[in-house]
Amino acid sequence: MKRSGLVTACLLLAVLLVGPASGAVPQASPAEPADALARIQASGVLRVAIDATYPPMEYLENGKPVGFDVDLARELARRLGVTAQFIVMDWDGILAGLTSGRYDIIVSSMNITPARQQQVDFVEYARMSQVFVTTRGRLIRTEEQLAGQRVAVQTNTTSQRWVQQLVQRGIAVQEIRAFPGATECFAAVKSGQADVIVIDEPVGRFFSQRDDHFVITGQALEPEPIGIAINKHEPRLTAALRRAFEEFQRSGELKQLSEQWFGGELGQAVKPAGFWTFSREVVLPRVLRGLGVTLQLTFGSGVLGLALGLVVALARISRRTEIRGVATVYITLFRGTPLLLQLLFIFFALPLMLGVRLGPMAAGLTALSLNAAAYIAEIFRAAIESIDKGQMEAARALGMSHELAMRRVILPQTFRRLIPPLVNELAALSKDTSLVMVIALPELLYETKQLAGTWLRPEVYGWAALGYLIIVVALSELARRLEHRLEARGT
Amino acid sequence: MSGPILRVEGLRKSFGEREVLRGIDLEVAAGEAVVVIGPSGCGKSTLLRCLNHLETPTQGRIWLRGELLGMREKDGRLLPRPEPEVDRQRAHIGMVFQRFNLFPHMTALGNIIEAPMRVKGLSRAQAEERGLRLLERVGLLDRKDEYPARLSGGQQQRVAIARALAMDPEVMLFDEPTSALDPELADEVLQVMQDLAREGMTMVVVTHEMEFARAVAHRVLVMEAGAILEQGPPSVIFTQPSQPRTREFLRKVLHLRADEHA
Repeated sequence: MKRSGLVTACLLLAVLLVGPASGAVPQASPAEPADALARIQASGVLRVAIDATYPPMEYLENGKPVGFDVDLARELARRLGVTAQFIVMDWDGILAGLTSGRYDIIVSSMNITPARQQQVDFVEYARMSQVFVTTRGRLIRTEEQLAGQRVAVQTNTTSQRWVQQLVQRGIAVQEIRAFPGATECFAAVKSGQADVIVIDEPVGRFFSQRDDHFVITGQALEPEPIGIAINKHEPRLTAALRRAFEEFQRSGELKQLSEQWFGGELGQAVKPAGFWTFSREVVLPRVLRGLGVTLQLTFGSGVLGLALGLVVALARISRRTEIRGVATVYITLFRGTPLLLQLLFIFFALPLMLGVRLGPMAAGLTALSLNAAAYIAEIFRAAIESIDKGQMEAARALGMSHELAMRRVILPQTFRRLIPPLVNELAALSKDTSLVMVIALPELLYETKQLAGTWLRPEVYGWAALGYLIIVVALSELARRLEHRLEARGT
Repeated sequence: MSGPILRVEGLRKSFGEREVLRGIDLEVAAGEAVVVIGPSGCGKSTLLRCLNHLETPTQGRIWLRGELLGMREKDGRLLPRPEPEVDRQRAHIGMVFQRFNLFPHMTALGNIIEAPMRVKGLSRAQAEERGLRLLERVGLLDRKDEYPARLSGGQQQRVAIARALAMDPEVMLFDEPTSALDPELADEVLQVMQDLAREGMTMVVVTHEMEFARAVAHRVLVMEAGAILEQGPPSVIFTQPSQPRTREFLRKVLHLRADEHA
């Protein structure tokens, strides 16, 4: 079954480090009432997290979440007298999001493991087994036949752990290739990067029905339980969900739902149209939407980063030691840690530390701006310090204040020198925006990845590449013209 | 005239361990042209830069028209003056640098009107009118719209002089204004300076141009190792200096200059 093991190490670290570091701040936000069930019923909304890359359990179709888990969550919410609201999360961050209170439950085919039970409570709702999926013409029926094969699995899943145990038991798997999403596993086998996928049965079935290329050739092990994850110390919510599920099961509706998603008509062998029709009707609308988000992120964090960067640069060369110190610490911190970590920290850790809960766009903009500002500050500082000291002296000798001299004499002279390194930085920034996909902000790469996965058409990555290229080329062209104009002015 | 324009008392300046000025006393009267000479490294540039507080003196006091410069006295103790006041004081002292230091992103006229507009609060029209007159005075009216990069060194230095004059300074400081120039370009700058002195501008000039010192200075000041070795009218200093070290220095420079002209 899908998804056992640990949350990404760096994320866990971020969250763990925050706890002791923040000291006084307790686990839950103090503003919220203690009982989640009461709060859910008061607001009328049950917030449900899903990792929408896992058809048919949960995935996006035309941008809307669908799947077995989605329908199940809707039904359970209805029985609690509220409506379900779906929050699409990256798998690696999904548990941390629950403990930090971004949503109430996870219904995302999460395997119930002892390690996870330390962190959250579960209501079991299904059992799933592993299947072997490979390309037509190969035959891998038994565990033993995995020997000598390159096996694709999703990272941090039961599948991965299970294959690792096979190896320990002496089955000579040639290589385990662990990919972040289920869809990459299929893409890998399709492109010859791996021989066989070990994955949850419904998912294996879904893909083998959607794409003729794949067949399920074998099955492994006893089924293992999957469950709805709920924060610990919420006995009323847990009990209410369990009751709702048992009702749903008793009435026969669960069976019906299972048949609908895992039975004969599943997948319906949707054969994608030809390249141009597919691109125009399916790919482009989403790629353009993603490009819009990427542009917003690039432009927003570019402008904020430039403004903040200038402030930090001026602080960095301030004549007051303490101001210089603050700026130096800022730059060291943001240049010295990965942007990805900063992003995860702002999104997942700040709610626990300070009760500051930023949405994905706000968190993305904040992380990107803060990070870019550190680099931009150093660019500004280098440019300012490259201006001949005689310029400042001449200005001061005329009676200008330091501030006036900086504004009228020094900074204008830096403009032309700033353009090349700043364009470099902004180009890098425009591509760094793709990291926000880890907090499930649907920017260009995120959208493309979803498309490539759902339709198993890796060529859509080409559209993403084109999108980034357009941004960077436009930036360079803009810079070239600006430089040209400044040159004409004689500086 | 009541008292000197500029008075210096016990001025000392150290950079770390190294003492560059070791107690300078000096008075400059209104309309006086003082030329400071001495071997390189003797502290004459530092003296000039202390006079307008580009360098903060380690010790000693400077008065401009009786007002303590860069410091204030409170209960007999010397405290630094608030920076805006020092800026205001500096505006009364013009300075011309060895390397011109024109603002490269402004035209000749733009360089001149910047401080009068931003510091003195003159309107653009007023500043430009005055700026054009000054450009005419240094013979560069026709180059008013050129950027510094398109002016010769001599022209740049003349614009720099006009820029300093635009603030109506009470005293002008020249820090080796012709050292970076070829002799023929130096002459046009020296000519402008000579005219200024003749019109009664109070000037302190650090230079190696002995001809200029002889022709223009009311008083020549010889420095060595951070102190004033001797001073007097050029006629005395250049013909019968009292200090053997002055004689030694003059012999070397005049000899060099003679070589150059040969």
